[in-house]
Amino acid sequence: MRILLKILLATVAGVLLGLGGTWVVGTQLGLPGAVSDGPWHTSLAIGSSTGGAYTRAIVALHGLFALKRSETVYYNATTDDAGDALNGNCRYRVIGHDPDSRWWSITAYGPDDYLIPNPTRHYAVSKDSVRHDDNGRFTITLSPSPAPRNWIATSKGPFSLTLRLYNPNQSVAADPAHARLPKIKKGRCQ
Amino acid sequence: MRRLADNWLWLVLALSIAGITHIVTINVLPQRVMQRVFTHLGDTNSIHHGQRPDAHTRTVVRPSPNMLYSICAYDLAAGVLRVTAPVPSGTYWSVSAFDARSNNYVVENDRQVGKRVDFLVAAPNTHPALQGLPVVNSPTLRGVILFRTVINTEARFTQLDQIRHVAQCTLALPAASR
Repeated sequence: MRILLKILLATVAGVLLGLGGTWVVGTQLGLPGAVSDGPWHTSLAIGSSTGGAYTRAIVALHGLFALKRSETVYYNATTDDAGDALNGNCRYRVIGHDPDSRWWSITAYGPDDYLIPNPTRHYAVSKDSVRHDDNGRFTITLSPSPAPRNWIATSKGPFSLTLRLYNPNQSVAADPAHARLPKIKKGRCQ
Repeated sequence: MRRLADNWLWLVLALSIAGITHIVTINVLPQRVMQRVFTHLGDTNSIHHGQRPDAHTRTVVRPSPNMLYSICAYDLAAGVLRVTAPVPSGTYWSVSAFDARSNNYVVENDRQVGKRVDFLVAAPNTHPALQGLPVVNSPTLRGVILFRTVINTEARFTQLDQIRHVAQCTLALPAASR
C-alpha cells in the first residue's frame, strides 16, 4: 500500500512538473529567432515552416495564422529609440520613410494587447493614409490628444506598436534585422 | 543524504513522468490551439466574415484595424471543399490554408492569381476531379482557410467588404470521391 501511494505521488508530481514546464514555455519564453532593428523586434520563426516542437508550440500560441516573411513581416516595439518603455503619459514622434514593402501600417495597442479606444478610431497610420513632407519623410504623432496630420491615439499608461509590412522587398524578407525602419522619439511627458 | 538515496527511484520516476508529460503536451499544443479555433467557429465547411476590428474586438489579440478577415473551418471527412472568391484589385489580398496542427501549407496573394480563385481542398492522398479545378491536398482532415483583405484606404472599405462577402466555402463532392 505504501508503495502504491509513493507511485501515485511520484506520478502526480511528475505530471504537475511536466505541465508546469509546458506552461513556462507557453507563457514566459519569447518567440524563438528574435531579431531587432532599433526599437523594433521580430521573430524569424513567425510564419516559418521549419522549427522543432518548441518553436511550433510557441508560434501557435503567439503567432497563429502568421504567413511566411515574403507575405508579411511583423515588428513590435515596446520602447522608444532610447530604450525607455512607451507610455501614453508622453508624446512621441515616429519618423521615417516608407518601409520597403508593397504596403505597411503602424498600429498602437494598449497593455491588454487590444486597440486603444478613441472616438475618432485613430488606431493606425498606413502607407496610403500617411502624409509625407517634401523630402518623402513622414512624422507620426503618438499622443492621447489629437494632433494634426499623422496621428495615432494613445492613452495614459503603457502601450506598444506593431509595424506590419505586406509583401516586403526581398532584402527585408531575407534579413528583417536590417530593414530601414522608422525612429521612435520621445517628446514631452506629463 | 540517506533519505535521498532511499527515494532516488521515486525521484527518477517523477522526473521521467514529468519529461513525458512535457514532451507530449508541447507536441499537441498546436492541435489544441486549432481545436479552440474550430470550437469558436462552430460550423464547418462554410465561411465566416469577421467584423472589422476596432477597440471592442476581443476575438484575437493585436488585431489589425486595416484588415478584413474571412475564415472557413473545414472537415474533409464530410467531403471535398470548394473554395471560391473574387480577388479585389489594387490592394493586398491573400488566401491561405492551415492544417489541424496550425501549419501553413498554401498561400496565394492577389499578385499571383487572377481575378478570381476557384479550387478544391481534398483529404490527404485523394484525387477528386471536378470541372478541371485545381486540387490542394490538406495534410489533415481538419483545417482552416483564411482570407485577408487589406483596407488600403477608408474610401474603399465598403467596396472591399462587399467583395469579400462573395467568397464561399462549400462541400462540392461527397467524401467517397477519390
